[in-house]
Amino acid sequence: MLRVLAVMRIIALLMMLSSAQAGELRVQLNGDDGRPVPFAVLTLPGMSADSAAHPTRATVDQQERRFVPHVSTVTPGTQVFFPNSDDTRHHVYSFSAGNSFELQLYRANDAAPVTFDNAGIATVGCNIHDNMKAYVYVSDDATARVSDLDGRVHLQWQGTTLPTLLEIWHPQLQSSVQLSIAPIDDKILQINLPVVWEDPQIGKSELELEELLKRFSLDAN
Amino acid sequence: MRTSFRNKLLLLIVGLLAVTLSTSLLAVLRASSHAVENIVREELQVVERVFRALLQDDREQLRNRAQLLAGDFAFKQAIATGEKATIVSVLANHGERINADFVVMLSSTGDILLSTHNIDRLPANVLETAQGPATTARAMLTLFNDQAYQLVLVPVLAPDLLGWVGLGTAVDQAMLNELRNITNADITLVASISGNVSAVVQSTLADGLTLDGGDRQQTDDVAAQLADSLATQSWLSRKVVLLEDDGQQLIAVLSQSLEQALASYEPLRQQMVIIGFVALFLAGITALVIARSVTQPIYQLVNAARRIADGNYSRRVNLRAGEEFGQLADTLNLMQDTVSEREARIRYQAQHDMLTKLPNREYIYSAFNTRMAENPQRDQFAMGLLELANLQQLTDLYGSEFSDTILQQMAERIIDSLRRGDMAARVADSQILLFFDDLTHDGVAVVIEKLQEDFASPVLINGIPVRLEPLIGFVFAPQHGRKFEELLRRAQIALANARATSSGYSFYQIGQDETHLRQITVAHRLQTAVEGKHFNIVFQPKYDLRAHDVLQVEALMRWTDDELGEVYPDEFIPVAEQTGIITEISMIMIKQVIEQICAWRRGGLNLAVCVNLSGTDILKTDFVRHTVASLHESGLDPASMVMEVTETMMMTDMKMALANIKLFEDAGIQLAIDDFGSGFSSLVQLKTLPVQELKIDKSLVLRLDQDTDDQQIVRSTIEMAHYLGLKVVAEGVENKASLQLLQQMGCDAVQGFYVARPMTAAALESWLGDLPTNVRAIRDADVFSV
Repeated sequence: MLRVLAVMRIIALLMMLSSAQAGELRVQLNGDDGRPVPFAVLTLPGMSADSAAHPTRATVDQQERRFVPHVSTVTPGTQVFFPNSDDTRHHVYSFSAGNSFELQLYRANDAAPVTFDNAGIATVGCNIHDNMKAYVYVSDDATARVSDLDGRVHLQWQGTTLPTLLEIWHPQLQSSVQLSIAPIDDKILQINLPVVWEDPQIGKSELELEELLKRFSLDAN
Repeated sequence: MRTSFRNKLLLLIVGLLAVTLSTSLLAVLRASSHAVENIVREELQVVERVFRALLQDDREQLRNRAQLLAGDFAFKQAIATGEKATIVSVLANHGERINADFVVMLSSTGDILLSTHNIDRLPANVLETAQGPATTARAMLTLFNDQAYQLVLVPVLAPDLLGWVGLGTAVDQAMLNELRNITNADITLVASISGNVSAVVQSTLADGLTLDGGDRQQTDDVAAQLADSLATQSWLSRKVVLLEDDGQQLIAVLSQSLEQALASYEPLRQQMVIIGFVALFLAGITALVIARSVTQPIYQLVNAARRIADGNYSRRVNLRAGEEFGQLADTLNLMQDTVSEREARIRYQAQHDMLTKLPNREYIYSAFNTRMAENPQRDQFAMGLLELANLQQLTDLYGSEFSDTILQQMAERIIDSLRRGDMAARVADSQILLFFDDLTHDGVAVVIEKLQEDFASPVLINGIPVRLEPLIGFVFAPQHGRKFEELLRRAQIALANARATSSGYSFYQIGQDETHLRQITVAHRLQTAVEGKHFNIVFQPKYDLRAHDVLQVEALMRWTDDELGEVYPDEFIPVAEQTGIITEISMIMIKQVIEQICAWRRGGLNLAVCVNLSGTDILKTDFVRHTVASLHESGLDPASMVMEVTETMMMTDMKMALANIKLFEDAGIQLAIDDFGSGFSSLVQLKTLPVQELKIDKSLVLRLDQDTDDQQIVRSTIEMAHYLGLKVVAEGVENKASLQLLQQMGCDAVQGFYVARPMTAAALESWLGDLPTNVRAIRDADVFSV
């Protein structure tokens, strides 16, 4: 972990909000290869945010054998829907402590929503598609935001207190890291993470096999 | 030692082949051994690859099975429960599904959570694998508790890494046996085991072949030790390092028996050995056949050569062999013929006289012996020794070539007159020996007649008619002897006798040979007697009828030989004359006589001594001069010696005899004619000879009193001698009547037993001193007659 910290070169530019009630921080996450790192969850511990902004329902869709989005943040008690947009069934499950569930083979919207009651990171998988993997970041912290595909995160908080800590979680990191930050005016915080982003849900060979199977199978329907 | 050609050839061919065969066999054996070794070595390389591939495959299968297992949702679900009992249960259950011997559960960070075996920590290789990215399963070979395992580590993903499940199958005896069945090589696993040592942990080798202890520190050493141990039993080994890690070493020793591999070559070897022996056998036979084809003719030729060497030329050498031996045989035949011819010629020459073509002495000798040996019972035959009486004359007249021709002609005539079974041989220059089988004394007249008939007609040589006058001496077997030499010698005697006959032939008389032999002995002993001067002189008084006194004595030789006893001059003088030794005897006598006369003179006895000289002596001027000189040196009156000589002897060379007698006469020595009336007596000579005395031979005197013829001769002789002025002495007067007759006839002196026998000098002296009565009575008788 120290190593990770040491590697990180933090350009601590704290952007101060003009509004006295609220502040925001823009962060750009890049990996070791200099490319943006998506699907990192950033939180500002000790800061509060507009909880209204957090919906009580969330959706992790399954499109083309992928969980979309790959990472979701929810507050405890949030119902998460796992709709099935594919033509195959999916068997969605999680063995993560406190939030384990199992949605056996289902189509479309057959599955009931899953309520994630406990804070924690729930790892979600599909039993019949090994490459499918999703994380549900269950946290009371309303500041939690997920970096987009360009590695950008837009953090917001309420109150006048400036955040001093920034916590970062990413599937490819062993555990969360916390960074000390200082408020810098209106700048995008550039953070380099000691990871190289690779999409874990890519299952090419499997898809190829499936295509082949489709071609040479009798239609049972 | 001489090695036979056959053995040499045998040795050469079989030896060469044996060397070649054994060399090639050895080369093949070595090559096959080498090849097999290489093949086994290469095989072991292949075995290693196969072995590694099999292990790899095994692991892959294990991994696949393990992956399927780890993908099982229920498995994951169970693991995810985190309940130890559940996890143990599910691991056991799923482990059982894939027949795992070893199950281990690791945390996502690699800590051991559960294990079927008591292990403190994971081997480094396993650990590294566990800490790597957790996407796929890992298969490896590893050691746990001295046991090798095929281990697969599979991540449990749900879908994130929950932990690792390790499933292992022991590399046990069954597995090694299976591998052995596939690769056909024995596999021995050497591993580092607990306690910091290494040892053989598994092996498919028979118990006797593996290492018993093996507690070296390094697996390498144990593997090398095992390989060495196997090498001593003709095994090839290959070391395959399966695991080389910190604290973990695993080596597989792959081994194959060379003997087993070579076993497939055994029939080939046996065949080669059999082929070798068959080839050797055939080569031996071939060598023997070749050797025989060479040695057989050689033996035949050798035998033929030996036969020829032994003088047997009768058989031809006949060879059924190659050209070379045929040529040799022909040459041998040619040689045999040549040798045979030459030998016949040489033998003929050795056995024959080349001039007359008659057999020679040796031939007739052996023929005679053969005849005697073949027919000893038929011992009656005759032998005649023939010579030509007039051959010497003819040779003198016409030369030796002429006489050679005569001999040839004579031989031809003899051959013509021979009967069947008779033989003729030239045994001496002019002598031919004739052998008449079955001829006895009774039948010899016919043979003589025929021979004389054959020689009767003269032969014409160089236009000269020559009459051949054969002389033959005959001997008859068995009465004249049985041995060739004996018979020939006696035939010589007979021939000698024949020379004196008019008939021209003579038969041997028994005893002639003995006389002849005694003469030879006498001649031989005489030599010794002369050297040792073994002669004595006796003196016989000569009574002078005029002076009635003994004025002269005749000196007579006496010789007593150790072997022959007393020998009389009648016997030994002729022999001495023949051999020529007479002169030496005479010189001895002269010397002794002179000494005796000197002795008598000193004693006052005045006697003249008559000495008999041989005709040979009188012809030797040296002797005569010597005698004269001796007498002169002695200082004696020359008249004290009278030399008696015979006419017969002088007649050989009268001129020389007269000259020598003249020498005596000149010296004043008196001479007497001895033995007058016995041989040739020539009155003409008597007239010319300067002699003073005539001695009438005793053959006329001995029976004078009875034989009137003798009386007439003696009377006439005395008268004639007196007429010539010679004194007459009669010898051999042995009785009174003869003496009186001689006295009446006017004989001058008498000598004989009636007067006195010959006596030694000493006896003579005493005889003269005391004359016997009859001697003294001679004077009285004379007185009476007057």
